[in-house]
Amino acid sequence: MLIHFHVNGKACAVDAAPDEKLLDTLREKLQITSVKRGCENGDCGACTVLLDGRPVASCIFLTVKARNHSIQTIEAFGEPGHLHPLQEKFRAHGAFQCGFCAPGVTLSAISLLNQNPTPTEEEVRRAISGNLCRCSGYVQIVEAIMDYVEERRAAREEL
Amino acid sequence: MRVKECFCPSSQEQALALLAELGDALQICAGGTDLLVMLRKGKTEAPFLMDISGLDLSGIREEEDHISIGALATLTDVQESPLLNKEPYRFLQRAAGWVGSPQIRNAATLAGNLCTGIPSADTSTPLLALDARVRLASVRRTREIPLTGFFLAPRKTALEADEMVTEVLLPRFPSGDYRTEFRKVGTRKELFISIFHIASLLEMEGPLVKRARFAMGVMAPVPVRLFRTEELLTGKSLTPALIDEALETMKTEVHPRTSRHASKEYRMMLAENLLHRFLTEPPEGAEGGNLC
Repeated sequence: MLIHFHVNGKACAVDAAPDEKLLDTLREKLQITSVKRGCENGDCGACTVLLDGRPVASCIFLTVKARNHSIQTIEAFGEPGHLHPLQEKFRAHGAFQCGFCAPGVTLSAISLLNQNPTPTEEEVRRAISGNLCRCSGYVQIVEAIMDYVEERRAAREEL
Repeated sequence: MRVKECFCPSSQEQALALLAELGDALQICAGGTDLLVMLRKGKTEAPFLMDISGLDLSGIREEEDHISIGALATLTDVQESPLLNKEPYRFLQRAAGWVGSPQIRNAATLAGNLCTGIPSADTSTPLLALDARVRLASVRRTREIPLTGFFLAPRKTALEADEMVTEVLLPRFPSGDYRTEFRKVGTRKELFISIFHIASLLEMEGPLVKRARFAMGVMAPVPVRLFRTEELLTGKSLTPALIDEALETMKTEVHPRTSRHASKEYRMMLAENLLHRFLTEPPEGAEGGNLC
């Protein structure tokens, strides 16, 4: 059936199978391959996208259910040469090694920061708890996010 | 089997008519987080899906004699609802907040967690302890059943082939000195299937237990209430001797078994230790944490 939705701000229409997963629609039909195919079980978070601003696992989300909603992938926030300031922090902290989890972790963190600009470290850890990283042990990821939070807090206080 | 069609009704009448026509051949999809895994693994055979996200069943509302949680309310909605951020409902928020991951809680619904019918469904125990009821609709009738009568066997609920859950209803409680607790235990801190979970609701009147409600999950084929243990404590003071007696009574009300995730002895030890903790220690903070 024909599904209308917004992807990264643009109106899209795709012809989706009745049991098609949002992951497959984004990767195979819209060629957005930053949405990673990981466990396909909802366990690893590599396929995370934002649905109306909130993270969902696109591997266990029916494309049909996304109709009339707004989807954001990492491309909505940063592109090579124009990184999101949080992505710059990840780079500065050496947060990622293989990078497979990076789009999902970044989207989970951005969603948290949009709702709560001054999270505690515990809140950050819980917000990215659905994103597995098998390289880093999370320490640098959390440090990078907290660094970004602190920098923005300082910038706000200067105003 | 390949899914032939996914229906997207825009009214409850349409949804119920489809259910009446197709029955077991139609699988309802609310959040879909469990269903899509089952589909991928070939564990569900329904040729038709029905996405109910177009129905007017979202929202958590306070009504005259109960709080109504619509079938489309997500676990995140439950976790964040100001109506539930007070006793004796906080253990439900806590349980909802530990299901799966943020990604799962943003899609998965409270009603769906119950409809899976699995003993590890984390929200089942606080809902049992709250004496929650489930409202079921079909073209034939609307009925309300207590949650204690909803779970029949693993993956089997009292839902008939043409019925769907429309609301989960929580009774309102008189003001009082409540303390509620929820704990789940698994192999790590986040994103795991519970090998054991427990919900405890105590209402105290000075030193006496005015109301006691306990429920445990993965300690029997379905989540269970501990009615005899509750009765033993009601109206009494929580002395060490009474607590020992309560733990013995609890053991007669559960029947854990050994699975590849945990042994029955370990589950029983968890049940004893956590019930003991809830009866002896002051309540912990809202977040607490899981045990692993």
